[in-house]
Amino acid sequence: MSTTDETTSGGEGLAATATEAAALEIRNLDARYGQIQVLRNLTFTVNPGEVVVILGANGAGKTTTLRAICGMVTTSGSIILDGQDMRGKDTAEIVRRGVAHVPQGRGTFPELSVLDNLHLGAYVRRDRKAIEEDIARWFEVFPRLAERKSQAAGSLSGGEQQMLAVARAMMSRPKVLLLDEPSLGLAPLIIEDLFNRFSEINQETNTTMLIVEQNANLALDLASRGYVLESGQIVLEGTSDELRTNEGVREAYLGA
Amino acid sequence: MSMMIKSRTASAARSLVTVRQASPQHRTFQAIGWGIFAFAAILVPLMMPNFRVTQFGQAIAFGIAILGMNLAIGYAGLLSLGHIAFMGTGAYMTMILVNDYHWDYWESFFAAIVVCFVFGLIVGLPALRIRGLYLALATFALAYTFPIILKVEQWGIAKRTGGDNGRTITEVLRPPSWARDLPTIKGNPQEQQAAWQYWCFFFTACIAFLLVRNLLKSRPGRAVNAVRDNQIGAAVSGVNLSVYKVVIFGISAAVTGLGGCLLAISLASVGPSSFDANYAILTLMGLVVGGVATLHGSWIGGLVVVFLQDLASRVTFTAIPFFKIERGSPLTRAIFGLVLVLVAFFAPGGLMSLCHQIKARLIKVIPNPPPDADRITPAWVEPVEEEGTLSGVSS
Amino acid sequence: MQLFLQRVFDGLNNGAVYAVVAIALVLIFKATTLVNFAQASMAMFGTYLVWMFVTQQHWGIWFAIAVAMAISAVAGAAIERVLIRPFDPTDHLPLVMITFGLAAILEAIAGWKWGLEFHKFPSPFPSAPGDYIGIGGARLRYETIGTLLMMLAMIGVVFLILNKTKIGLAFRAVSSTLESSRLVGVKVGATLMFGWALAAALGTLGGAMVARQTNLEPAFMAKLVIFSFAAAVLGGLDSIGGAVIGAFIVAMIQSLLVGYAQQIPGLHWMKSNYSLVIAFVVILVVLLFKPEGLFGTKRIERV
Repeated sequence: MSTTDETTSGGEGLAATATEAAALEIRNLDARYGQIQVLRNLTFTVNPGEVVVILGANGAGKTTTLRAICGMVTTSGSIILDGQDMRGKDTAEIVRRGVAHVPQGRGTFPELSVLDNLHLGAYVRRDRKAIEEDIARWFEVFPRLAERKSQAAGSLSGGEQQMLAVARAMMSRPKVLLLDEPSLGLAPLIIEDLFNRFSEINQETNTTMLIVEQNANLALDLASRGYVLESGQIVLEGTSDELRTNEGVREAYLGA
Repeated sequence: MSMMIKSRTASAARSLVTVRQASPQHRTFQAIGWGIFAFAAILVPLMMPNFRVTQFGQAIAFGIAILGMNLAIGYAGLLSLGHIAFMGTGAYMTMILVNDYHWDYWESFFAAIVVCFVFGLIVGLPALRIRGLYLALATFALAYTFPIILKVEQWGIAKRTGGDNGRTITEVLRPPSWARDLPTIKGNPQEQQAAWQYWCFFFTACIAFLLVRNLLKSRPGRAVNAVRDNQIGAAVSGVNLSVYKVVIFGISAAVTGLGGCLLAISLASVGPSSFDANYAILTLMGLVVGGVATLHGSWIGGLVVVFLQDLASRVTFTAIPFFKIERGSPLTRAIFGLVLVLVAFFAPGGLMSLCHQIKARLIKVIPNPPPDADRITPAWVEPVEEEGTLSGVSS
Repeated sequence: MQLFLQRVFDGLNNGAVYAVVAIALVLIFKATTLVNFAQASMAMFGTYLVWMFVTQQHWGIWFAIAVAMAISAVAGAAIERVLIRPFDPTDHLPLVMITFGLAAILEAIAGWKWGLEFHKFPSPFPSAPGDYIGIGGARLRYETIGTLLMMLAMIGVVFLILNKTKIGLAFRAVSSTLESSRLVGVKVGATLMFGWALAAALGTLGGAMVARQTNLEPAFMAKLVIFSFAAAVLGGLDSIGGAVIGAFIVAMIQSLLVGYAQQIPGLHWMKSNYSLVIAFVVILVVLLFKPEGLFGTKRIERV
C-alpha cells in the first residue's frame, strides 16, 4: 500500500487490494455551509469490513465529512456507496441504502424508551422476527440497556446512551457505520469498553466502520487505516501503524 | 429553506447605474426618489374626491399602526399578533379624553402614546420569556379579549367605551383659519376638512417615521435587530438586550397607539369592531404584504388594508360561472386569505422587497467597506462577495 | 345539588368536545411545533360536509361522519404537502400567515356554498327532550354519554396508532428529534402528512359532535377552538393526555364558574361571553408562568 507523507491535498486514495468494490468511496468532495467552504477536494476510500479512522482537531471538518456522506450538507463531488452514487439523495434514502450514522450527541430519541429507540433503528427493515432477534442479541451485548429497556433514553447515563446509539445504528444492519467522536464526554474506562465493543462488532459482523475521532490512541488501535484532516483537507494518510509513528501525528494528536 | 432570507439578498445581476454610497450621485438619486414621493403625496388632496382623501388618511393611520407592528415583529423579532389592542387603546383614549374631558386632540395623542407605551412594557416583559408561536398564541389571545373587555359593564367601563356600538367623537378636526388659504386646502368646508386631516396625518407620519428610523439606527436598535434571528447570540449578550427589547416593544405599542388615535379622528367614532381579531389579521396582512422589517413597507401595508377592503367590497367576478363573486358575497373574505397565502409563497419579503429588487436592477449602491478593525471573518475563510445591506435600515 | 350536578354534566359534555379538537391541535404541534390556526375552519368545513351528506344525500349520520372524516384526512394531508411543507419550520411568520389565510379561505367558501344563515344539525345521538338519565334531579343526556364514549374511543384509537404502529412510532420520532428521525430512515414528509390527516379527521369528528348544540354556521368552530387551545396549552402543547385533562378542567371551570357566578349578586355581570375571557386568561397565565403546561415536555431552546 502506498503512503504519502507530504502534505498533499486529496490525492489518490489507497487502492483497494481486494477485487470487490469499495464499501465507501469519496472523490473530490467539496462541502459548504452557505458561502463558507468547509471541505476541499476530499478523496478517500473505505474498503468492506475495514475500520478507518479520520483524525483531526476541532473545526477540521470531520463532522462535516460524515454529514456530507449522509446527504445533510450541500456538496459537490462523488459519494459512492457500494458502487452506487449517492449524490442528490436525501438522508432517509441514503440510510435506506445501508448507511448508519451515530452523530455527536448520540442521535437517540430522548423522550422515547430504549426499546422504541431500537425499533426505530430498524425502521428501514421489514423482517419483524429478525428484528426482535436482533434486539435480544443487542440486549445480550449491552446488558445495561436490557435493564433499562422501558426507560426514556434521555434518562440514561452518557455511556449508556452511547451504547444505545451504537446498538440503534447497528439495528439497521448497515453496510457502513459512521461514528462521530464516540468518545466525547465519556469517562476513560467507558471509552475503553466502548472501543472493545466496536472491535467485537467489526469482527463478528464484518461491518465497515468509519470513525471520526480526536482521541487518536484508541482509534488507531481499533482502525487499520486512517486519514488526517486539517482545515477541510486530507493532509496525511496511511496504515494505523504508519500514522502512530508519524512525527506530526504524534505531536498533534497523541500528545507525545 | 428560509424564504425570507432568500428574498433579502440583493440580486447580483447587472444594474443600470452604479454609485457609491453617500456619494453626490447617490444623494441625487435619493432626492429624486423623495421628490417623486412628495409630488404624489401632494397630488392626493388636490386631485382626489373627498372620500378618497379620507381613505388615504386612514391608510396613513393604519400605516403608522403597522409601523409599530413592524418594529415589534420585524425588527425585534417578537411575534405579536395582538398589536391591534394597542391601536384600540390609542383610539379609545383619544375619544374619551376629547369627549369627556375636553382635551385637545394633540394633547390626547401624548397621553395615548404614554399609556400605550406603558401598556406595551407590561405586555413586552413576559414576551421575553415566551418565544415564537407561543408568543403569537398569547398575543392573539390578547387581541381576541380586547373587544370583550371593552364591553364589560362592570365598573362603568361600557359606559365610557360605549359598549357594543362605541361612541362618536363630538369634536371634529377643523382646519384653523390660517390653513384655509393654503393652496392644497381649498374648496368647500368638507373638502377643506378632509385635506387638513390628510396633511396633519401626513406630517405626523413623517415625524413617526423619522423617530423610528433613528431608533433603529441607535445602538439599542441595531443590537436588537442584529440578534433577532440568532437566539444564542441573544442569550450571551446579556441583560441589556432584554431591556432594549422590552423598551422597543413599548415604543412599538406607542407608535401603533398613535395610529389608533389618528384612525379615531378619521372615523370620527370608535367601536370595538374596528379593533377585533378580524382587524388583527388584516393589519398583519398589511404588514406582511408591505414587507416585514422594512420601514416603507408599513405605508404600503396601510394602503393595502384600506384599499383591499374597498376593492373586496366592490369586486364582481363573473367570468367563471362556478366562482361567481357578487358584491358583498362572503367569498370576498377569501380574497384576504388568498392574498396572505400568495404573499407567503411568492413574496415573503412583501412588496417592499420586490421594490428593492427592482431598484437593485436599476441602481447598485456600493457600500463603503467597514474599517479593518471591524472585520470578523477569519483569514482562512474564502472571501465572500459583499452583498447589499439589509433592507429597511438604510433606504 | 341538582344544579351542581347539572353543571358537572354540562362540563363533561363540553370537555369531551374540547378534548377531541385539542388532540388535533396537539398532534400537529407535537410533530411540527406549528400552531394550526386553521384548525377551526378545517373542522367547520368537514362538519358542513356531514350536514350536506345527511340533508341532501340522505345518508345515515354515522356514515356521513365517517366519509367526511376520510375526506378531511385526505385534505389534511394535501394541505401539509402543498401549503406547509415548502416553508422553513423555524420561520414562524409565513406559516402563521398561511394558516390564517387558509382559515379565511375555508370560511369564505363555506359561507358562499352553504350560506351564512344558521342551520340545524342532526344529532349523532338520540337527543329528543326525553333522552336523558335523571341523576339526583339533574339530567345526564344521552348525548353527553355518547360524546364521552366517542371521545374515549377516539383517544384509544389515537393511542393505539401512536404506540403500536410503525407510522405512529415514526410520528413520535419526528416529534422528538427531527434530525435523528432522518438518520433512521424515517420519511419525514409522509409522516407529517399522516399527522395532519389524523388531526383533520379528528377536527371533523369534534365538529360533528358539537354542531347539534351550537347550530351550524361558518364561524361556529371559531369560538370552540379557543377553548380547545386553552385546553391544549394547559395540558402542555405536546401532550395528548394533557390535552384531554386540560379540556375537562377548562370545561369544568367554564361550567361551574360562569354558572355559579350568575347566582352570586356581585358577579352577575359575567355573561357567557366571559367564559371566553376565562379561556384566554388560562392561556396567558399558563404561557407566562409554565409554558410547558401541566404535562408537556420542558423544551430547552432547540439550537
